Amino acid sequence: MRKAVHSSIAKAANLTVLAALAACASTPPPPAAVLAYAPVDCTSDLTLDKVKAMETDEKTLKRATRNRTVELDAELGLASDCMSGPVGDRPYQVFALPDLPLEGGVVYAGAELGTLRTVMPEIATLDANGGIMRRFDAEKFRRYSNRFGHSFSPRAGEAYVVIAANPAAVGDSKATVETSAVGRNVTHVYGSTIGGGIDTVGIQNEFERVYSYEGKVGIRVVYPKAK
Amino acid sequence: MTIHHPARTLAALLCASATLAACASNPYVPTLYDADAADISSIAIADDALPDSIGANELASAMGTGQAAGGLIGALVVASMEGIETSNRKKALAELLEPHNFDPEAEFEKALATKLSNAGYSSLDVVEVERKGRQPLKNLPSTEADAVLDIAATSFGMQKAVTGEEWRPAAGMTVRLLRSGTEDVLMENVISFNNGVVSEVNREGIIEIAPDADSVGYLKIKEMDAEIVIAEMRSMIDVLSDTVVSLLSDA
Repeated sequence: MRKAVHSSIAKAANLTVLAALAACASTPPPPAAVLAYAPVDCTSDLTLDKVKAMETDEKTLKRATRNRTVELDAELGLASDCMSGPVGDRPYQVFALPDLPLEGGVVYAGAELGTLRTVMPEIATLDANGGIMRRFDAEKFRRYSNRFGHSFSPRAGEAYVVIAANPAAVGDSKATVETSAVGRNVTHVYGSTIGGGIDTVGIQNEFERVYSYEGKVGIRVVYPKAK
Repeated sequence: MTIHHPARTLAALLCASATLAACASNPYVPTLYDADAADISSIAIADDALPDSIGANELASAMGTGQAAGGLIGALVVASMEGIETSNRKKALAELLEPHNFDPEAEFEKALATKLSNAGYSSLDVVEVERKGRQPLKNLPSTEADAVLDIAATSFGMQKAVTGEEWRPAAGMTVRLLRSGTEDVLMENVISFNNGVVSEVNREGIIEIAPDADSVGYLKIKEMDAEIVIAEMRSMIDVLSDTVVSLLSDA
C-alpha cells in the first residue's frame, strides 16, 4: 500500500512538473502597448456591423441564467470598427446587452488590465438604432477586479454598450504596486495517509500599464438572486 | 485585526479558484445608487466604521500545510501560531504609532462629512451605533436625516503579501446607504484598498484600488517611520472617502 501510494504520488508529481515546464515553454510574453494606429475606413459615425452578442443556444442561455452572469469581450485593434473624431481615430467595439429573463442587472464595462498595457476606455450606451443614450465620465471610472471602467444599471431603451480606446490617453501610463493572494494545493504523506490543504501564497508586483490603442475590452453583466 | 478564521480562509481560497461552479453561480452584485429615485438630501454617518485597532496583516498563510500534515487540528495549530505573529506585529505597530495620537476613525468620518457636504448633502452628524463584529448594521440608529451611511470595514491598517515584501496601508469595507425608517438599501458596494480583506468571499466585481508605485513601503515594522506611515494611511483615507462619496453621485 505504501509503495503504491508513493508511486502514485511520484507519478503525479512528475506529471505536474512536466505540465509546468510545458506551460513555461509555451507562454508568450504579455503584449506591449500599441502607440500608433493607422486604420482604413474610419467613419465619423458608429455602426452596428460588428456587434458582439451572447450566444443564444439553449445551453448558453441556461448556464448564463443559472450563473446570473454574462461576459463578452473583444480585442480592440486594426480589425475593429474605427471611428474618427476631433482628438483622433479610435477603434471601438459594440456589445449587445443580454436579453435574459432576469431583473436588476448591473453592467461592468471597461478595459482589461494587462501586464504591460491597458486601454483608457470611452464608454457609452446606445439605443436599438445605435444612437447614444448615455456617455460615462472617465473621471468616475474605477477598477473592478481586473477591469477598469464603469458600472451601471441599464435603463429602458438601452440596447448596446460601446467601448472605444481614448486616443488622447495613448502613451500615458499608470504605475501601481499590487498585492494578491492565491491558493496553492499542498499535500503531505504520512504513513499510508495523504493529507491535503490549501496554503495562501502572497504576491507583490509592480505594474506600469501604458494606455494603448489595442487591448481587451468587454462587459460583464451580473444579476441578483430573484426575491 | 486577524484574518486567520479557518472556515472563512478556506472558503475564500476555494473561491479564488476559477473552476468552482458554486462561486461562479453566486456573483457579487452591488446596489448602484440612483440619486433621482432616492431623493436623499441629508445623510447621517454611522459610527464605528473602522476596527478598534490598526491591523498588521500578512496575506500569506501556511494553514494548508498544517491541515495537510495534521488535519483540522494541524490547521488550527498553524492558525494559532500565525495569529500570535499577527498579534505581535499589531502590538509593534501600535507602539510605533501611539505617540502620534493618530485617530483614523475620526479622520475618516471628518473626510466623509466634508466631502458629502461639498457634494450637496446636509446633516452629516455621526450617530452612535451598536455594531456586532465588523458587520453591516442590522438595525439603523434613530436620526432625522433622510438616510444613514453605514460603512463596515473588515480590515484597516498595514498589510504585506508575504515576508520579504513591503508593508503598505490596506483596507476592506462594505459601504451602504440606507433610507431612514424603511431601511431600504439605496446603495451597496464593497471597496478594497491594496487587496485589503473584505467580507465578500467572491471578490469579482468589487471596487479594487491599488497604491501608486511611488507610495512608500517598508520591509519591516521596526524600520517604519511613524510619520510617513501615518501620511500613507491618511492618503488611503483620502482615496477611500473620495470613492465612497463618488458612489453617491453615479449616473
